[in-house]
Amino acid sequence: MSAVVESRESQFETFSYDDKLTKMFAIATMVWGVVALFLGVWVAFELATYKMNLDSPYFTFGRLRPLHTNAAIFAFVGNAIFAGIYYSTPRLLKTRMASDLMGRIHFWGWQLIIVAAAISLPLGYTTSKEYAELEWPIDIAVALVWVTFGVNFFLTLKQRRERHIYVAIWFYIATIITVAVLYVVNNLEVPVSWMKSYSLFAGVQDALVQWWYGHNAVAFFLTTPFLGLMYYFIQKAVNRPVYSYRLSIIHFWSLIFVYIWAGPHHLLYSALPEWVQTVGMAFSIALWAPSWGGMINGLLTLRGAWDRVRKEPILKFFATAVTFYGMATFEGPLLSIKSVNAIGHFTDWIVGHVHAGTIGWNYMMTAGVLYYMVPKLWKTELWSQRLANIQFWSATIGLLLYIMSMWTAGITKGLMWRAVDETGKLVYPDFVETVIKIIPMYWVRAFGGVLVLFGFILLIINLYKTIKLAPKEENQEEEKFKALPLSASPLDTHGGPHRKLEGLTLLFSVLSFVAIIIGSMIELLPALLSNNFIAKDARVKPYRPLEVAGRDIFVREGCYTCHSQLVRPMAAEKLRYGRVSTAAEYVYDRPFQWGSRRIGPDLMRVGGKYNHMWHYRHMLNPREVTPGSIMPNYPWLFKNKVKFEALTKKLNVLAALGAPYSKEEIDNAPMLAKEHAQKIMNELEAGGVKKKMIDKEIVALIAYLQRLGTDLGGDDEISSVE
Amino acid sequence: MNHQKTDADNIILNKTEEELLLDHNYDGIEEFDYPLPSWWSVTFIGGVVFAIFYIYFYNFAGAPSLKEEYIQEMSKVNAILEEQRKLTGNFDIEEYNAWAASTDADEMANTVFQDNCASCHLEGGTGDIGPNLTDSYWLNLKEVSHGTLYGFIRVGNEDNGMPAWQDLLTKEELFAAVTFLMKLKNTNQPGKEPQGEKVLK
Repeated sequence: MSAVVESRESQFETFSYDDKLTKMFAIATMVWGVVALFLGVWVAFELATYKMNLDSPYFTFGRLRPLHTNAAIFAFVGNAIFAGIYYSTPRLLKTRMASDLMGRIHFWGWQLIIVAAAISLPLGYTTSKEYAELEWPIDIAVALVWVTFGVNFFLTLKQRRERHIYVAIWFYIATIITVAVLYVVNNLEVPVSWMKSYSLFAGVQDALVQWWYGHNAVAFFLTTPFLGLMYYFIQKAVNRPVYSYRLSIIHFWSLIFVYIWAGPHHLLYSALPEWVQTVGMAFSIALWAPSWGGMINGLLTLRGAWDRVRKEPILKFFATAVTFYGMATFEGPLLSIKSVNAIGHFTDWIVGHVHAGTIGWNYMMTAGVLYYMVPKLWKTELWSQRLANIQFWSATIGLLLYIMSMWTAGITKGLMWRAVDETGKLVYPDFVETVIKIIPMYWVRAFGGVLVLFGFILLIINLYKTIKLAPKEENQEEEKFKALPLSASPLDTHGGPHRKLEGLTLLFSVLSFVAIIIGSMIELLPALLSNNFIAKDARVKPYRPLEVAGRDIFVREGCYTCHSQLVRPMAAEKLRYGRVSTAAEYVYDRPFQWGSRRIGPDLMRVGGKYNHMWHYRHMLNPREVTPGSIMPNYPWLFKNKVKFEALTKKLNVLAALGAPYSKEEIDNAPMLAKEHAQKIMNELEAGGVKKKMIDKEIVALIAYLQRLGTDLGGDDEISSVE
Repeated sequence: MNHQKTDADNIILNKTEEELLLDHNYDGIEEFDYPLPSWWSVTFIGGVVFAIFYIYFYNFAGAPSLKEEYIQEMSKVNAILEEQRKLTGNFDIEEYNAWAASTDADEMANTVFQDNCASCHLEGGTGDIGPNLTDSYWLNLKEVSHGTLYGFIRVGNEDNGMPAWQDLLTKEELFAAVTFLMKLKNTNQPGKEPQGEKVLK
């Protein structure tokens, strides 16, 4: 007997954890968290009062909103995920992460990417694809750093000392694989210059790929890694076993399989072929139960510990996070029901929904994880439970104000847009009426955001004090742990096929990949490979050179953050905007500009609706022609010159991607653009505009706006919709 | 199994839980194997069944597409608009005079102009984005009368940015706009340079 024990003793291997890396990511989470939340509060105030745009290109909503979303998702939540994964993975696998160096490359590479985003987005370098706005050199860096992370993770998996992998690890695997696939495919683009590219996909295809990505960025960046964190940190914090192992299995596989299909619910009533919309909607409903499987396993683990939830701030954060996760994943399927979507889409309701997820789930989970992890990492106690409690209430109240104001604003606006009286007239024909109505809600939301930010600042003070007061000497050396090698823990063959699979990590990873690739292929491939996916229309022509220049300005300024270019097939939209959009009209749009919100009106049919002078006045000061407008002023468009010479290169790239430009057009692009500008100037000069404005960006932008949606002509014969 | 029971100090509530506890232990985390809650299973199966039925119904069983629904909705609205256009289509000077004699006609004229026209023609109608309405030059009219103004405002001229107002304004509101314009014309206030032809009548 003692001999057996001794031989086992000698087999034990010693290892330690690279907690220094975890500490680095934890600190980065706090730093970028404040930045992301501050930017969110800033852009919230920009909608409440346009003056917050500061008349400066670098601070307009169109450029700061993408910075806020990217900072929140990739900088704040991203670093939190990495901190949590680097903390839990080695502990669950009984091994050190495979490479300290790869961990450092991951950390510093990621922080550099964030800095690059923070500089390039305000400067107007953007691809305009939501949550994927970064230009191509940064995209490549993201892909490389992510692969480094993935390689390090899978090597760690290989050298584990625990035969079977825990449910948290399943979710990490799905995250790493899927984000790589999503990010690479959605960012396929052809460079024009160092910081400008055109999407490989055009129009409807681009929209489909983007929202397959956009929706699954929510799924596989904001959800699956956090479910992994939930399965580790809640159980550790509450010391209770997971509620149901078989629920873990069924909700994991159904979640990752179903989630990937649901992207097209972002494109309901759009020009996307209807079968794709129908499939996206159906899978969104089917997604409800798999999502709630995670919620149940999280909440029911807390059974028998509810008295502690009342007292311990960490558990408060976790319980609230999981509850909001449940709420948001119920609201999501609800919003993808077509008749609900018809009202909610393009409104602030969607923004409220997103923040129920990002603040309610990601922020609350992150706070809980940090409060649990930081004292453990620095071998000390949390400095102040009271401060953590104040943060909890501040953030919760702020979030409730946020969600409720956005519900009110969104539903109000959605109903006002579609109100038609008995004489067939729009009840609110002036779009700006529907904006002015909800401005009080924008103030409430901004105030809610301030409370959320305030709470996070308390977290930083609390954790700073915690770290500062930690005993120095105990943090000198890494703690040593002992475990038997993998060979000592045989594959469990009695626990059923899934138990066996948990021991076969390569097969597990391959099956995860299969689960996410099936839906992707079925939804994307017909669009990308078939020539018949989009009906052609010979009347639709590529943009003329000056319009290309104008379109690039439209993209640069982030106009899509407030304006859609998509008239939905509804009577109220036809009355307000004109002819319903068709897929054929977008075939030269790289990238597509459908947008996801109508803070301002749709622009699909704005071409020819106003004269040049109207646009000139409007861009200089929107309130001069539309009293009550909340759009920023764009004075720099009246100073910056159009880069006419760059147009040859741009047309060349667009031609290579399939736009039928002739060689003459490409070679003479700068000259053609100047001639076009002269025509616009003829009218502007009659209105008193100085001759020297001819080479300014405003003229190119007017050229683009006047072209929008005009190719099919003005009349909307209903039959042409078919 | 190499289950190290010792390093898990999880709280186990009762006998049932003890029986449901699995032989899993990861960094001290254990797992129960509670059966799936029945309401959850029903939701799960219900969601899948719904999805299959929904896809079948809309893609194969001939349910109306969004476009068909739109065409139906739009043909109803178009019928109403046609009716309305018939009502506003004919300008009857006697009907106009009867309206103009009403007490709030002048006030309505001012309101309609400021709400709808002033953003392009300025408050006093002296022109900015749109032409000066106080001079004797007109871009779209050869004769300026109640009837011709009414007719033009109704349909507009898309080429130079004047919207068609027939589906946006009621007949009274169109009358109101005409009243305001008739008062402005030939008052020759300083403003935008004249555009179009001089109209004598």
